[in-house]
Amino acid sequence: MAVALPELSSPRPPSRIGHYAREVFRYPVIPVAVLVIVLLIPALGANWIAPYDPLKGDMTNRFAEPSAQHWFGTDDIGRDVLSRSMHGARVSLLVASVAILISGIIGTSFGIVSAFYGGWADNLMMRLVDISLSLPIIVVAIVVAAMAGPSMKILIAVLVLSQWSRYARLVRGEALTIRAQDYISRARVAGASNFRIMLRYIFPNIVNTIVVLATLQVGFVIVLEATLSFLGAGISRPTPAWGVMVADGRSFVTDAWWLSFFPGLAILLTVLSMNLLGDWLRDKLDPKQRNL
Amino acid sequence: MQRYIIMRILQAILVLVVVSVIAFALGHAGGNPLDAILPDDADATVRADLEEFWGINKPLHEQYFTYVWNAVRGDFGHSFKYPRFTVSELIADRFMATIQLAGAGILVAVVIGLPIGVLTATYRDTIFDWTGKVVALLGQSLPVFWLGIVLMWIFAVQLDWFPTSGKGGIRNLVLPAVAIGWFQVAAMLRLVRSSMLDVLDSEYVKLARIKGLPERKIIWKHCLRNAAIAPLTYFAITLGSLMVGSVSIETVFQWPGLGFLLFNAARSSDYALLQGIMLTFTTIYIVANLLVDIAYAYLDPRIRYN
Repeated sequence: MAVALPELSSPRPPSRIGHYAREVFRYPVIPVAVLVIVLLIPALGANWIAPYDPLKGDMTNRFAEPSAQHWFGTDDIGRDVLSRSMHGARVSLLVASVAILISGIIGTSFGIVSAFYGGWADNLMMRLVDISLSLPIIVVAIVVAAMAGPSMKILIAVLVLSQWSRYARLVRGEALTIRAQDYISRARVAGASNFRIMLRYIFPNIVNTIVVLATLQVGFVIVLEATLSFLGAGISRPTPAWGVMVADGRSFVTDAWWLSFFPGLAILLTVLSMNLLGDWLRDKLDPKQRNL
Repeated sequence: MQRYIIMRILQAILVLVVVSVIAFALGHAGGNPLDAILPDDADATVRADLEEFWGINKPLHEQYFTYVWNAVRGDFGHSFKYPRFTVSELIADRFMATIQLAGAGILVAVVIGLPIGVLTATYRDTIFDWTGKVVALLGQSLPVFWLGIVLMWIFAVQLDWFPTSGKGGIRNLVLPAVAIGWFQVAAMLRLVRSSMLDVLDSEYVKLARIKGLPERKIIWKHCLRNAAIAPLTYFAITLGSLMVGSVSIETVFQWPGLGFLLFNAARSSDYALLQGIMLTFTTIYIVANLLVDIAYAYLDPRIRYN
């Protein structure tokens, strides 16, 4: 690999703007700003900052184009699209964080235990992981939702079902390397229990990896949630969720483009920023996983 | 190698068994499907006849084995919504439309992703490279169903170049194919870029340069021919996962394929049809993954001995 040599004779002093530009690109300032504006503030403050009630329509003001009163326009029963998008952020954030938290906990414990005990237990557990990874999750989710009725609980369960195995597989790989380290055998000699070794000696060493994977998965999970809601297998009406709003707007695409456009744009911006943030975190915290 | 393939096939069968149990169990978890389709005051004899017809009056395990045995022979029973058709007939009817869409998606990925991949590898850190990066990033982040609607609005509603939805001539295929191929464009681009970078470093490229061949010929003929093998193999086999991914795009464009059929079956609680499509999709998906794994094991010995 070529090593960049420092330039001895700098042709001109670095400009102030160039300096700021480099600083901005060194830290993920733009993605974080976008996330705060598109996801965090609306999700936490929708009740206070949303200009209208997300559920109450105004039949005298249906399909209003984006204007000063309704920045994102109104939908087929006169509800304000901006207010609904803000409340939609809440659903996306809630579902994604709960799903990722649960999958992270299940997957991490699974991975550590599997690597720690090895042998047939490891074999069996990894086959379970393989099975989970080879399920076509969208199809499964649609069928489950059709049979049990769509709800947020089922949506989260389906997301966990599709995500936990990714953590399990990654964590197991890391834990296998750590288990072979000297300090693990020393901890054992010192009388640490299996549980203590897993919790205090192995887990802290893989936290970075898990954080990176979790960040990279947020975007994926939000898109998956929106896709399932779009297909009627996620959040059910009238709860405002981005995927549902895009789906409802589809029928009116000829007359009212704003119904689908804005919630979809919110998904795109959130996911894009989340992926950029995840890439940055990965380079900082966990350079080994660059090819993840 | 043989051992690895046998293990992978066994595992694939195991997954199929699990999915068939899920499919079967779900059909029963929702209660008696007849409750959903018959009116409350339905005649008892009609009810009994229908139960006999669909075999829902037998013990569960017996129903399961009958179900699996029939499914293996391609018989998924009758659709609840369209009782005059068998599930297999409905699936067969829609199958080609989905294949067509997935194939067109791959074509889009190759036509757009391949040249951009070559350009990004050849002109690193230039405008091409940056374009490639943006395309790759958007490929991962764009929700495809939304992309479909945006494309529909721009090119069908505003510009009126293509029809908004439905199946017909080649013009109907363009928008859904671009939407479904978008994610694959990004994958293609990354694959081509990395294998082009490898090839550009090789001895025979240096030789070609020493010989004085024009750069254009070196890149597009000598390099690409070698660099394209891996991505193209990969793509021939991703057809399976593309088909599963077609569910949302088919729904957006009302493309009469398996995905749209699944969507409609879910809305009308057509359990038999749902189970049939679920098993069909899962089988395609698992077989496709199996082929990918075997192909990679064949190409990369580290995988098969691990």
